[in-house]
Amino acid sequence: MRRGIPLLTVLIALVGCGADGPGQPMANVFRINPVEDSSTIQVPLRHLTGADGALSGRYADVWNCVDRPGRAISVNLGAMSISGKLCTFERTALPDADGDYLQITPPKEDTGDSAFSEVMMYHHITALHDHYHDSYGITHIDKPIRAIVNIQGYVDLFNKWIGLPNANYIPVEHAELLRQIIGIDILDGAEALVFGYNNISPQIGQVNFSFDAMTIYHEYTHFTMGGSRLLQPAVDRYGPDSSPIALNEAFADYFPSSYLDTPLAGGTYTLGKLARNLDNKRRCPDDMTGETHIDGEVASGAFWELRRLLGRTAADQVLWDAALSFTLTTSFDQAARAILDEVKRTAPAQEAAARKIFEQRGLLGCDRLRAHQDYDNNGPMAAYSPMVEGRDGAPAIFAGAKEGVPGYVQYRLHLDADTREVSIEYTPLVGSAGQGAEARGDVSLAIRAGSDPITYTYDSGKPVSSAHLVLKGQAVGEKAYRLTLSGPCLVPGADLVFQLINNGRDPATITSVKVTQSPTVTNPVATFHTCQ
Amino acid sequence: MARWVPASLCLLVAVEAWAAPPRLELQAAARREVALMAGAVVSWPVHRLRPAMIRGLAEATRGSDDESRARSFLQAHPALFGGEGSSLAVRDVQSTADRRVVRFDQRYHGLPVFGAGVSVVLDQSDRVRAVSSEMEPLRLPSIQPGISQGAAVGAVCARLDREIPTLFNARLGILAEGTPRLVYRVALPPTVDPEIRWHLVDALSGEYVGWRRAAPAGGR
Repeated sequence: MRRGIPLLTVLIALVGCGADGPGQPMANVFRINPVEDSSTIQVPLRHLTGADGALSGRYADVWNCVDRPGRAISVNLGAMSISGKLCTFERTALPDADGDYLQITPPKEDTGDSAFSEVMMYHHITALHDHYHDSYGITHIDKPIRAIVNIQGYVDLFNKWIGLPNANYIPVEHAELLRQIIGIDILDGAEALVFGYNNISPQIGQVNFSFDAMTIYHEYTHFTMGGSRLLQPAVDRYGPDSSPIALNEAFADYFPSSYLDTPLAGGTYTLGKLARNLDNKRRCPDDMTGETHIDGEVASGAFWELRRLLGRTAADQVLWDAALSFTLTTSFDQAARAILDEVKRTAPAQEAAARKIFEQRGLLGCDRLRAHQDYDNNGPMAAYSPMVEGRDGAPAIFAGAKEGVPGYVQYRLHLDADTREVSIEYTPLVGSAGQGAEARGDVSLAIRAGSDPITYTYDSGKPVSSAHLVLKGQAVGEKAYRLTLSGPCLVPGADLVFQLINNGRDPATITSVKVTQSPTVTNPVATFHTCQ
Repeated sequence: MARWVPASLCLLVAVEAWAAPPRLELQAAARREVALMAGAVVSWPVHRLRPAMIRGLAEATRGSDDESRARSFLQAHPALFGGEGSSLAVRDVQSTADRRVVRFDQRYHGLPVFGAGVSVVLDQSDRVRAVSSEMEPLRLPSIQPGISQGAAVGAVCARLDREIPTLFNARLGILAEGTPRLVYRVALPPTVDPEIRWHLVDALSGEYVGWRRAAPAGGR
């Protein structure tokens, strides 16, 4: 039986045409990126206001930085200075005679000056803006954010153009500094998104970050969170807590994934095998490292489960309702309580199930004490080794602590029944191998006998630790330390808890930890004899 | 026999007593205030004198706009959000379909308290449903800097082993974390410091205090 088209449907279609149809210039974009999509799709470019056809509108103001020499720059790296020229700011994406941008297609070989980057950036910013605004009522993003694509510099030393191999959200005050350096008034004291491309790092591959909707959405979500929310470590009874920053990353992964209805947050284009997957079982403390993108997967995984429970719209709404109340240091635990409060209000029948998700993920009351496993991540995965903040970047209450800054995570070690001596060998690196400055950090170990975590009290305004011992190991080889423990506090068959303590000013990356237990005492001097 | 205490010691004790806030008293007052809030669910970090988050509220407000409504709530709870010399400047009002969040930045005798403020969550009936706060009571002996902006930038560049740039962003304010102190907050251009961060320099001693993130790490 043939069925007629209801009048309401026709009206809705006509209204829809009014939004996207005649009068709206069309353009080609990847729905996500060149890896996920075999071809581009045609979309309308909404909210354009630029009189000259430039991609400038109510919610995005896009510029290209093409590979023609602009202002001279000198990057001061202390030991050396790199001179060169900044790229030139232009609007290269312009309409054809029909007012469309369909002549702009992905380049066969990206040389970092493609107008396609501008089109991708403009479309995907406005698309996500409209989603956040129309679906969840978010209004503080109703302003044009500046976005620069293909930012690059001609480096005299290499005699070539080098792209910025990353994408960033730039808050207001730093954007003002950029404006002064760039020298033209495209950043008039407003926030910005700055995107580059990679032609220098083999680990990243040939990637243009503005070709990836997920990366655009990720940075735009950081912009939506803003420059004064979820940016600093918190402090709790286990020491510094990096979960606020991880939470920022979790939202920047989750909301784009929810919008695109895929749990592959990082996407396969810009991150490759490091792509983040929200359909995971990660939990606190087992999967916490101190690296905020990785730790964020604990929270974003919980949010993805919440989405399954409540449905996309309801889950996203409660998450936004909670998130906008967060401050600089809202932790996993506080966030989970706030989200559950919103679930209780909007879907009370689901509150118990939602609470179970957050409990199983360890977001509620995580003790950040995990079972130790040996690892050795020297090599390309070094960035994913646990990080211990240095005195300069730590919460001020720890910056002046006598022993140093505790790591974000503690480790529990079970001693064998015949263990009389334990050696903990660890490799703390500071600086960057890429800059030739990688060195052994000034890192000790805090030790506590038994199964309980090392805790901190702050009654005097300074941290007081429950650790029984804080000691730095003996230097081993070029970069490692080895701490050997023996004595009456080392109880065979019992547990031992340790935490890395950074006495240096810079953050240290712990690229390996190896524990050796022995029934034989080799060190004639007992090192662990006080544990009351 | 009368025992004499040196005058300098008396002065030192007096100064210390004045400078150190009565921590336990302030904390106890905040706890009493929270206890009066029916149905409140409280998150109270172990090192803080005041709670970081209070939810489960349904407090009526007074006022003709969101800022005044939020202020009426905050002024009704001085043990949680007040303090000698402290004031609140509205930063913005953010909203979702269900909520309006009025965000305030803390000031101390007119100076910004970096990173400190209060977010008040209003519902569609103008009731306060939640509040998040980074605001702690402050007491500083002086808000007169002992060094110039330029000297503060110099301290940052010395720490980073960089030449002093002609462009920078430096602002005097208060760092409330740990022991509160007067600081300059300095941002350097990316050609000098590629990290998007703030540097903090003690505005009395010129000591480099540390850095804080100003934005999330790169999107990868």
